[in-house]
Amino acid sequence: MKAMHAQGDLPIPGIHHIDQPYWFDEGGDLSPEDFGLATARKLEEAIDQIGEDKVAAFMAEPIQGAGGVIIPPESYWPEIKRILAERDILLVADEVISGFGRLGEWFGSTVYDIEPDLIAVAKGMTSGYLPMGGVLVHDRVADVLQHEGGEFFHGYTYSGHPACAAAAIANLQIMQEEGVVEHVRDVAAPRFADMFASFADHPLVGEARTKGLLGAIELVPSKPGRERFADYGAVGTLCRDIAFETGLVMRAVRDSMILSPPLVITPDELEWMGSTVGKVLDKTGAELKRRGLW
Amino acid sequence: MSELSNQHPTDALQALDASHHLHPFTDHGSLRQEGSRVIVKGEGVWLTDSDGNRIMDGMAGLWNVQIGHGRGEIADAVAAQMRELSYYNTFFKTTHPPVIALSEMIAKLAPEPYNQMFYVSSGSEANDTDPAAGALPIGTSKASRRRRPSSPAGTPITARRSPAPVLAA
Repeated sequence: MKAMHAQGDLPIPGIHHIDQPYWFDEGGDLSPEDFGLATARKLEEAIDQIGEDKVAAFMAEPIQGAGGVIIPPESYWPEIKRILAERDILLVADEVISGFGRLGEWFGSTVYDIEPDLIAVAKGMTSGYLPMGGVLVHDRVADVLQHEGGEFFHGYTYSGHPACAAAAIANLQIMQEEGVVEHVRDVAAPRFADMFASFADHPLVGEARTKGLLGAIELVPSKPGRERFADYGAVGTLCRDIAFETGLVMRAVRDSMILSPPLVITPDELEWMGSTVGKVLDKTGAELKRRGLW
Repeated sequence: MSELSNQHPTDALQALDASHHLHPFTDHGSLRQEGSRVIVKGEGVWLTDSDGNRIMDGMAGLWNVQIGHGRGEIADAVAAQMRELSYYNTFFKTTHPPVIALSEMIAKLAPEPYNQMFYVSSGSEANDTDPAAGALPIGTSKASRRRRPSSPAGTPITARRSPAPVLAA
């Protein structure tokens, strides 16, 4: 994201960023639980520094997706909740990825037991058949908009587009009738987690983590110490290209390999995915050795 | 219809793509040297490229294809809606049946205190909407908040390096 900020002259004024709960790269000697607490308390420090009366909201994804499937330690969200509640500051959850079943419940907010004031959604709402997104508004915010807000000067030409709405309805009907979210929870996610646990034994893998049908594999030169390859990001790109050639789309975020398959993936398809990832890791290791990089 | 409606040779498609198409999040110089992979079909979790290779879509497109590719029910529903009412806005004190039905559906799927939906076209726009929708209640309501910020917009705080839409807000 640093590259995006630099190119786009971001962040814009009025947006303040705090550290991410990325234990694998930034946790140092702390346990994941202690690191989760420490990172959450950066929010407390930032609010105190900026001034409680000047902070409108805290925005975050339940799990950071495009940042590299950063699954926060279990201690993180309860502490964020405490800090926001004590200061009466709004929470905005970006559920563009976690919304509509990916974590085995309809929304990631219930998985993490948070009650955001606003929930941003998109992606899975139409399964990508047409572009559509939205903001789910908590009743306590909607009441203010309705009774005290006056005119809301915001909207888009395609807000509520009828064809996109028809796609969303058909998509959500399929998800309900076919029990897609239950399939994630009961069938696909447990197998996905077992598969990732098996990746952890590979010599190139420093960590393999999942939540629901989101997964990340950290590629490292050696297991203990969570070290990184010298040219950070290059090994991920190599591995991604090898995956494509081997018949599997994976995404590389730096040296983290990401998987986030369709929710309807079957046990047979998951098995194919698992054996293919194994081959991809072996081929990546062989290529790194051939190049003298490992 | 044949199995693949695209019958053009891959290299011709790649050359045309390189001539006129700027891709997102891409180093255009190196992509144009290498040539884009041309995806021509999707079915379930599988994609097919213009050389006939089958590739598993391990990213569900861009994290979004929950039900898999190629479901005819969606195509039918969209076609039917387009024949009935392809577009109308929701600005002029106007609405339409599909957005009414969808809003009810999402309110039922969502946890209890979420009964209202504001529509946009993407997650990026959703996260552009968040500060506006959040700043308004905090700036206007004395009854439901225990204090008002000194500026109406306040300062949203985001987790660092969370995805682009949040940071763009």
